[in-house]
Amino acid sequence: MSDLPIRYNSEEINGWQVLQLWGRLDRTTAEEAADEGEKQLAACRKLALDLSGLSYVSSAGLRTILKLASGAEQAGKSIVIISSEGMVREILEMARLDLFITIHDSVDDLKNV
Amino acid sequence: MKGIKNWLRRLTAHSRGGIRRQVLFLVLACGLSTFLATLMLFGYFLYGLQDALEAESRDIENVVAESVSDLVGKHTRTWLRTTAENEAAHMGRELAVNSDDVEFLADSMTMLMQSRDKYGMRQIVNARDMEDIAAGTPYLHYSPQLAAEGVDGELAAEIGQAANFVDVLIPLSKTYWGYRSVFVVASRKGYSICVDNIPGEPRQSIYPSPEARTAFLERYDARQRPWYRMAQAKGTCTYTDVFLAEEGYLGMGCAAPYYDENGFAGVVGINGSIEDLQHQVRQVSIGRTGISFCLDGNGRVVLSSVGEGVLAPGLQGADLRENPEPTLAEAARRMTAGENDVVKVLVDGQEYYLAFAPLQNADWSFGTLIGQDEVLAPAQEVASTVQEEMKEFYEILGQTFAGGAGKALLLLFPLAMVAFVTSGVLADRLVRPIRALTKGVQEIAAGNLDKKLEIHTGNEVEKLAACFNEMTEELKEHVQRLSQAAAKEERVRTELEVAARIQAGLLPAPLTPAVQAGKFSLSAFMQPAKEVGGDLYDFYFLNEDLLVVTVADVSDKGVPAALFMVMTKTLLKDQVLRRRNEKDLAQAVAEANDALVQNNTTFMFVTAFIGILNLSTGKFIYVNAGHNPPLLCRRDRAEYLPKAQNPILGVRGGMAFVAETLVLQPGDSLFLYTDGVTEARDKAKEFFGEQRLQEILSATAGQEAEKQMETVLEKLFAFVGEANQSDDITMLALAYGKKDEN
Repeated sequence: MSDLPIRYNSEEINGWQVLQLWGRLDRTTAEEAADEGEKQLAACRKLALDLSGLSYVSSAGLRTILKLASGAEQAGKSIVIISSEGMVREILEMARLDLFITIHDSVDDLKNV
Repeated sequence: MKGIKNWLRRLTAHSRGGIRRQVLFLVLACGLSTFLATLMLFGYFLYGLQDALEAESRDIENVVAESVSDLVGKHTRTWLRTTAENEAAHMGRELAVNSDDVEFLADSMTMLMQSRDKYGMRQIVNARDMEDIAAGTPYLHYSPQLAAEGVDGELAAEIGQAANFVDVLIPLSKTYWGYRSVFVVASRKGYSICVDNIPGEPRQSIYPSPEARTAFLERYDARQRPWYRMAQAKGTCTYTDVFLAEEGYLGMGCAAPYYDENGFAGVVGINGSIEDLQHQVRQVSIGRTGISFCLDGNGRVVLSSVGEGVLAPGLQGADLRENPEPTLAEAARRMTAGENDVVKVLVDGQEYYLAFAPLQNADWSFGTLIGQDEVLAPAQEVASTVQEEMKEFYEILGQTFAGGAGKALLLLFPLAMVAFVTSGVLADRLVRPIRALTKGVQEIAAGNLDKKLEIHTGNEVEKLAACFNEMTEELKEHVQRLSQAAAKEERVRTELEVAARIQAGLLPAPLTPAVQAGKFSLSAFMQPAKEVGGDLYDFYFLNEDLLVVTVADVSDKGVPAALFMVMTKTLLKDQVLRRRNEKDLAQAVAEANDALVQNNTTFMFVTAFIGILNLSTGKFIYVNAGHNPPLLCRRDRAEYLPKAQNPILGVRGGMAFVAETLVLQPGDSLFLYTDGVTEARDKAKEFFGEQRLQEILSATAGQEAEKQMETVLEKLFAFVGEANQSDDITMLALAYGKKDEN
């Protein structure tokens, strides 16, 4: 499960367009994920990247997330990350991504935003 | 010897191979066999035609000859019959005139003799008293016997009375003028009254010569003549046989008896030359072989157009009915029987047609013959003409056939040449695209993938060429892709090499033991991944006591990452060195971050851990910018430092950075690393992990940096095994102070 290529699913939850990712977000899948994210972002005003399904995020993956965040910021749109406890959350925290982009524990948190 | 063998092999290989040669051979074989077949058919046709023509012409010959001879035969028969009938009628009429005259004379004489007392004495000349007697003059003649006995008074009176008959005789005799004829009234008593007609000069002598007069006077007794005897014997008007007259001409007489009161008194006869008849018969004779003749009632030839042979006239001639030739004898029998026909007879061994018809008022028959050869001559001529014509026709036909065959043969050579050349051209045309194909394919095989086969034959070869073109195109694309891939790979490889060199060039030289001076030990290791990751370690002194250590990880690979790494290292070092004290480290990092953000357009970022160790006090001030927290090894135990408080560098400017402080005891050590270590994976794709690293470092706590590094490396490589290294592996071990010996 952890090594499967990245997969996506998107649905609207609590007024947010939620893009769910599964698998690994690393150098090999980063570009694909970026494309998908940009596509979703272009079609909505509020995008939530649900990384709960990811088994790993590499520095390239972080870069993709930062890139999306930057794009949203420039377009005046909102973007958040949803990431539950685990390795990915640890990586995100280790890189202090929370300093650039809001990270929620679960989609339920979106109600309060 | 070997050369000859090679030559032979080449020759046979050459003769075996080659579509051109095969096509040439095939076309030639077809053409020639067609030629030969046509020739044979032509020859057979000619032969058959000639045969049929020959047979047909032979038939024509026969038919023509037969029909012509048939026609000629029929025609001849008809014509012969007509001729015979006409002649017979004509001659019959002539003869009939004589017998009528004779009968008239006989009747008149009978009347005169039976009533002679009514007539006076009439004096006519006596031949014996006259030197000469002119023709046409009636005269009296005494037979030698009567002349010798003398004429008494009674007889003289009778003679004188009978002499009145000249009144009948003279007029009648005049109607015969122009003919050699003798009118005789011959008494049984020996006197006769005569009138001779001699055509020609009037009043000429009836005696051809004096000797003839003498002979006539001394020997002639009318009662001895055949016509007298015949008429006396038969008692009716009778024709005599042909006889030779005293005067030397061929004569024939017609005689009839006359009577007085005592019965038979004598014979009246007209003897005439039949040379006119004879002339007529001769005239009637037809053609070269034609013979005409008259047969009397006794089967004797009395008149004939020929003087010799079986059909020559003969006064004492044999009876033709008894001729040894049966056809002739049969014909003679039928002629004497008064029949009328055309038959074939053999005369002197020659075949003749014989037409015969009876003469009227006489038991004669007229016959006319013509040689069958002559009759059939036109037919034979026609047949031979036809034969000649046919022969000529054969010759022309033969010449035409021979000429045709010759021309066909003459034609064969140019045609064969044309066939040869045409098939050569055809074979060339067939083979040319194949050769072009071969040449093109060879060119393609030689490496010219831009070569396009231009073959427009509209057949399989064109399809093949199109397939080749497609294949070449694909091959070209493939080669291009390959070369592009290779170029790309080469570029990447070069790039990575450059990146690796940049990376390696940035790393500081290991610190010598003298520099360490027993106050610390430091060991750093970096192994770039195949695709250089942009890891960095650095260490330098700010002054004698302050040692700066840095470990950073750029979020990209290759040259851009390496360059970003150069920037990071330079900016960080610059900022740190500019301040020259440990307290302003956070500020230095913040400013370095701002500088990095300014030059970063590609969202590259770098995680960094930078710390300054005071070698005198063991105080360690550090800033963790989103980097993996290092491990602190203290008293048999390694623990991770708290997670980073600061953001990663290069993303956003103007961020505040916070420094933290740690005091190291002698024997303590710090282990800095990049995620290439904890995220190294074995074949089963399992991460090396923080846990495992922590355990290993726990086991090596208190050891010198090199020793720790050695152990970690050993364990790490053992764990990874043959699996690929996906990221740079960078580690830095820093052991503070000299561990107590005790």
